[in-house]
Amino acid sequence: MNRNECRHCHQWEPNPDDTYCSGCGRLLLLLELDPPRVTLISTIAPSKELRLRNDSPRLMRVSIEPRDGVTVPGVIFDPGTALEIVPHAELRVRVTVDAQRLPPGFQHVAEYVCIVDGDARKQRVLTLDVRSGPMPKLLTATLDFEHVEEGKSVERTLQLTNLGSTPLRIKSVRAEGPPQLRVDGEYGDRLVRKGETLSIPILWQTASHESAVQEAAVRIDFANHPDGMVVKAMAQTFRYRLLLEPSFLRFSQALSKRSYTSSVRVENQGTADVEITSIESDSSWMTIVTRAARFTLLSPESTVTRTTSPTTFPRAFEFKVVCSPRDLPEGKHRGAVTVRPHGQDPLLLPVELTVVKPREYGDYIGIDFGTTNSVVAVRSDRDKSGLALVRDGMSGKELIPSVLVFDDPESYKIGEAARNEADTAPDRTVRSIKRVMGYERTRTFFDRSYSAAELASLIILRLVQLAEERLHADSGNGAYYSVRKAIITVPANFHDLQIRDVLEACAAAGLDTQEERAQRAEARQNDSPGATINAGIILDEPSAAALYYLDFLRRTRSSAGITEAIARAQGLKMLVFDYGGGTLDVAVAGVTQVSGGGTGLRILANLGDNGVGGDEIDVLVMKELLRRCKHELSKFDLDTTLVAGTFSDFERRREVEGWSDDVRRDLLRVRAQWKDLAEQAKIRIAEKKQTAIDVRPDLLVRITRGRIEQAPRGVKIQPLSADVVNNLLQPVLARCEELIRSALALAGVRPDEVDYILHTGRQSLLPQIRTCVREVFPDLEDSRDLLEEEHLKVCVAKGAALYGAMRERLVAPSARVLLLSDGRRLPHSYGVETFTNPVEPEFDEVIERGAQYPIERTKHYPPEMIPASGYLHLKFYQNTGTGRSIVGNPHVSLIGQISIDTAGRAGCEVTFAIGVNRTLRVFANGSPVTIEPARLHEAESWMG
Amino acid sequence: MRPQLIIECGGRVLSALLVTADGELVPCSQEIRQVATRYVSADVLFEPRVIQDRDFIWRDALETLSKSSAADFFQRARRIGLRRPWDAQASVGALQLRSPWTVLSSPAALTDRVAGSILPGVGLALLDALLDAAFAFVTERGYLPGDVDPVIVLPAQTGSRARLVVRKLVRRRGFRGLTIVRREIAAAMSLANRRPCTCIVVETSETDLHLYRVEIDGDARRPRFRTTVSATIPGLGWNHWSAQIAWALGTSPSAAFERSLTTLLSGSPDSLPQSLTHGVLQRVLDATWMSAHSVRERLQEHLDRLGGEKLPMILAGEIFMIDAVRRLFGSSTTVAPAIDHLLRNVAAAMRSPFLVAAGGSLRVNTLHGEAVELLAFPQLPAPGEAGLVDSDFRLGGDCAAGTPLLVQLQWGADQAPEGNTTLCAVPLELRGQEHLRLSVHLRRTNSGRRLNGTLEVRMPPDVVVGRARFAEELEMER
Repeated sequence: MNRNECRHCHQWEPNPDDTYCSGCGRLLLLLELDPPRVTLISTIAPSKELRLRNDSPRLMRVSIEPRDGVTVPGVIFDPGTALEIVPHAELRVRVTVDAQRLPPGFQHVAEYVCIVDGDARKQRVLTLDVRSGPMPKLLTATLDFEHVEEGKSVERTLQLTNLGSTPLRIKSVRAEGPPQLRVDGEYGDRLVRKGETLSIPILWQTASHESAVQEAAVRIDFANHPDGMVVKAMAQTFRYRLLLEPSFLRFSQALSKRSYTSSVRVENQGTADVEITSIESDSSWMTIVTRAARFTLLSPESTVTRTTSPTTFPRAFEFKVVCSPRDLPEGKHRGAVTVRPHGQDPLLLPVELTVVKPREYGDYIGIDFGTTNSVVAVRSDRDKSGLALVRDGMSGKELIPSVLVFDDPESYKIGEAARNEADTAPDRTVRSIKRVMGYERTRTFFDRSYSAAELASLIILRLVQLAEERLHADSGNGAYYSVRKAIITVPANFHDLQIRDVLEACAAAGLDTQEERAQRAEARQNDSPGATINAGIILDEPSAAALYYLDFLRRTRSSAGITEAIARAQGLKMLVFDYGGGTLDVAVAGVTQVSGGGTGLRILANLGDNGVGGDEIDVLVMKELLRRCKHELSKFDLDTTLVAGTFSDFERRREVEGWSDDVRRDLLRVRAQWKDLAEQAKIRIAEKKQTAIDVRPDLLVRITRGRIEQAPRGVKIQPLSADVVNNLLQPVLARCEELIRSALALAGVRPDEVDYILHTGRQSLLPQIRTCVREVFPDLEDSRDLLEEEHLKVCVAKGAALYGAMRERLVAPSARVLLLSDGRRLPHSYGVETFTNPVEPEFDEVIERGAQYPIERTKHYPPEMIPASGYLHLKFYQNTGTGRSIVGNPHVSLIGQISIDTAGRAGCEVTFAIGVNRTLRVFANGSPVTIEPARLHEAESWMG
Repeated sequence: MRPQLIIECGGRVLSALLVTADGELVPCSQEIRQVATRYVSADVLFEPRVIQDRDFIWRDALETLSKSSAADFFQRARRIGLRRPWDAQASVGALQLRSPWTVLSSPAALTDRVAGSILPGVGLALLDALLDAAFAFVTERGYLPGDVDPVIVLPAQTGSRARLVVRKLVRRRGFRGLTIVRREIAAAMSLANRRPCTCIVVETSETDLHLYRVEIDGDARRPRFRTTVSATIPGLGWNHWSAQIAWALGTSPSAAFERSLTTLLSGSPDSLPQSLTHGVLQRVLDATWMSAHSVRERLQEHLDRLGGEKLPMILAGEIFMIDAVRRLFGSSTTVAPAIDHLLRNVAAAMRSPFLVAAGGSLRVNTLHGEAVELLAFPQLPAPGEAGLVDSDFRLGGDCAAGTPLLVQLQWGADQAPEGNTTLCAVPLELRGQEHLRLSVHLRRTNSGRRLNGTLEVRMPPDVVVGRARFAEELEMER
């Protein structure tokens, strides 16, 4: 357009001073705007220049305004929106958009107007297309790879989105820092459209473990965005290494009647703690025993810093694999144990079990099942006595402590190993179980309740296993044996119920109790009284000792002299003084020749006391030591009753005072250690090697507010003088003498008629005890008071084995000693309760004390004694004394009761039979009746 | 840093973690049957034969229990047939009772006058006994309860009465300042370091499967967690999976089998002989089993609604310890933490301040498997202000006079009633009308974190026929 020409009417030379055409009168705007449309893109083209030209001859005032009054955010005009343009001149205006003020994804086309001289009619339109440019936004603030295992990689996703309104072009995505960080894929030149989210996999791949947290970054640069972006990445690498030791379990030659236990150690050799979620077996013959269900195995590094808890273990953990091939056929069996760590592959432990069925051992073994120690003897050709002793697996000694410690619900140990552990685990320990056999006492271990017979059976089972090992070792041909035949000894005055428990324990331990054989023998005995008894597995301890000594004397002393003594009319008389850990037994034995050759042994009297065993001496010594400690610790209120009190008092106090399990366990440990201390002191008294006793402060305790408090210091106790020991033992010594004299009286033997005193039981080693015994026999030569430590402890077991061997006729007839039935005498009387006064029933003796057994007595109950119901109820008692009163009489104890249906018959014949095992059986009108056994009621004692 | 005791009560087992002043994590353990264990079954079993005794009176039995101490609770409870799974007397036929927090959160417990008066006491005594070992673990380590910050993780559906009982218990034990964390939040805390992010938490209750969309944001110093929406898939809970596994093993689903499964997955002791092993499950729950039990289709619909298809998924709960079940739900982004990892998440989160923001809305249980929204969260009164909402409802079905109706007001973000917390319930007897009006008076505390209110149920002609009060914590800041 010519500037002098009206664009509407094309008239020439309009009035230059006016904005209206002089020809047509229309508006002439002499403002040029170039360009009229501007596109602004933040970050890419955020600024553009406008040219405004004033073609008029006068000054022009121009204001730039949004048409609808709404400004576009972030749009700036430079030098401003109010402009003055000189005539025929051009003004440059820069339009810029501030990316920071632009909302994400902004895209807007706005119309601005350039109004001339404030006259709204005079305007030029400026179209502004404003867009936010590509606007990257990270959706991932940091890349935390957490724990990355050595040799493995962990992937995280880095998310990026474009909040701008134009596509975002990525120039590069690269990892910065350690080489472990890697971008998975190529992202150069990649476009991210508006609103799109791009996921970029980032890997952290470790080759080797670094202890510290490693840091790195991922950098993203853009082709069309000026600012690059950095995402921090971090990872803690760790080494995972879990090992099983051993890596393979093999049980070769596994005997089918036994269980095999092996410890397996799982060790964390990595650098991170590992959580074990389960340990399990895949076979029914394999059981896993652990002391923690799920647990954390600390790495060697964190072991230093972290404390442990009951389910957090430093570095390694041991569990047990118990294999019981009982029901498996002979041959190889395979299984596996699986250890499952959380988040890792399981570890497998292959297990191979080769099952062997052992041969039945034809001979008897002898078991002296003692209160404190047990001894087992087997036949052996290697020893000139024909007997060998089984040795404890740990100590190698023939005395095997009768201590049982449960390791876990599935496994336990006995013997020296158990005794060593007993002090630290009193709540899992069984001591002196023989003492509570027959009593109403159960103990709970691992939430399973055990009767005394069951606990005894566990010990006997192990004793038998030790014997089998000995037989295997002695066999010379590698043969394995299964022992089913054994002679087990019991104290002379063992109660019927106690013997029943022993028999039950033997049966549970897999021994043949030979019930049928015993019954046959009893029947024969009835037909021909006086014959030898060749049945029963129970043997009185004094009888066993007498058998052994007799054999020993014949082999080692003047055989002729012994034979001569035996050949006398009155025979050879021996007093067997058996003072063991739990019981004191005294027996008088007579040895004579029997018709048909051989030697016969008769027990003429057999008496005992279960209340004055060696344990009681220990308690007496313990009380004296405690008394001295209390005296020494005058400022510390030592609570001696915690240690010296009876077990039932201890438990009562626990209930009343609400001690925690830990407190109870610790106190039991203290009690057990005091018992050991007292026993050691007793042994030193016996050995005459007394020294001062150091009592540690942790054994000197009291309870304050439910917690155990120790004495501030230990105490040194000077050796006990002979007078003190004499005084302490006075009640025991008196009882010893009383029993000896009673036994002699019962046997009808004068002290001067006794040829030998045979000591068995370790309490005889106490000089006070031995002196006491000797004083009853002032005329006896010292050489005939046989107290040799070598025999003292083992003579009973050997005697039992000898008895078994003789029964099986393995011994030459001349050397055979026959245990004559008329020499077996009952230490108690047996009877029933009288009907005359139901309030104060009396003991009605049926079988008298001292009677030979097996024995049968029949009692007739006439119709008038049968109740109207037709049921005859009878209670059986055993009487160790002579009194007839039942109620409140400590000598009379209930064996059991029966209920007989007389079925309308007139009266009833009740037969009481004491069998070869010295247990009572009852027959009503010739038919056996089941006895409902009672339990003995325990007197208050220290033992738990 | 103050030591913390963090207890998880949300699942089938109870577990606790002691965080020492040095920040060390010591799992609380106890010895049961001579085996140290971290997880103990929360189950309380019941021998039904006890109630066959004519002299047995429930109310007396419950009153006896409410007076028990933690030490003698289960001794007394044995007399009325309650057992722990590891009790020697817990027979195969023992029934499983519902957890105390479930019972206390049930609408029945809110409305039954007899139960309402006794249950809190029994619940308190039972919880005390259940958690006794955890509290004892703290004191045995020489900490005084007053010096330890307690934190308890509870299921999202736990009602205010149950929470009140928990608070009371913790106070009674000498602890102060209890923090209650919802279970899905505790699970989501594992992703706190990756914020801002959103995840889906999947957890199982006894009967149902719950999905939660949890958003994690906040500034660098204080993360913020918020459950924006949740969904419930009925019948896909623990019982379902337990039954499926039992059938796969060729056995019948039973309480005894569930006990075995709990023992296997958690190590919690049980008196029943345990023959179930992970190896056995691996053999039985094979590809064939998995193909027959795909849950992806059922899950998909809900995931779509939660916008969770591509979000990281956290599987929380004992059942997900089974590889095969985990894989049924799984995707590449699935995380299935070990049971006590919830506790570890909470322990890590407790090191800095955090906020559990309000989410959900006021809802009414239609009793037809739906919880309709009455008031969305943004519509609640502003902090310090009060408001009133009136809503008219038309009753469907049998509206004959005498028909009982339990009106339940809920709080939550779930369309299914099972996924929400019941705030209050009003038992009614219909009088033949087909309409009722619910008036909810609301007051929000000045902090805005707590909502108190009263529900009034009106029937024509505008007669108030029932009223109940409620209170709900909307936000939790630490």
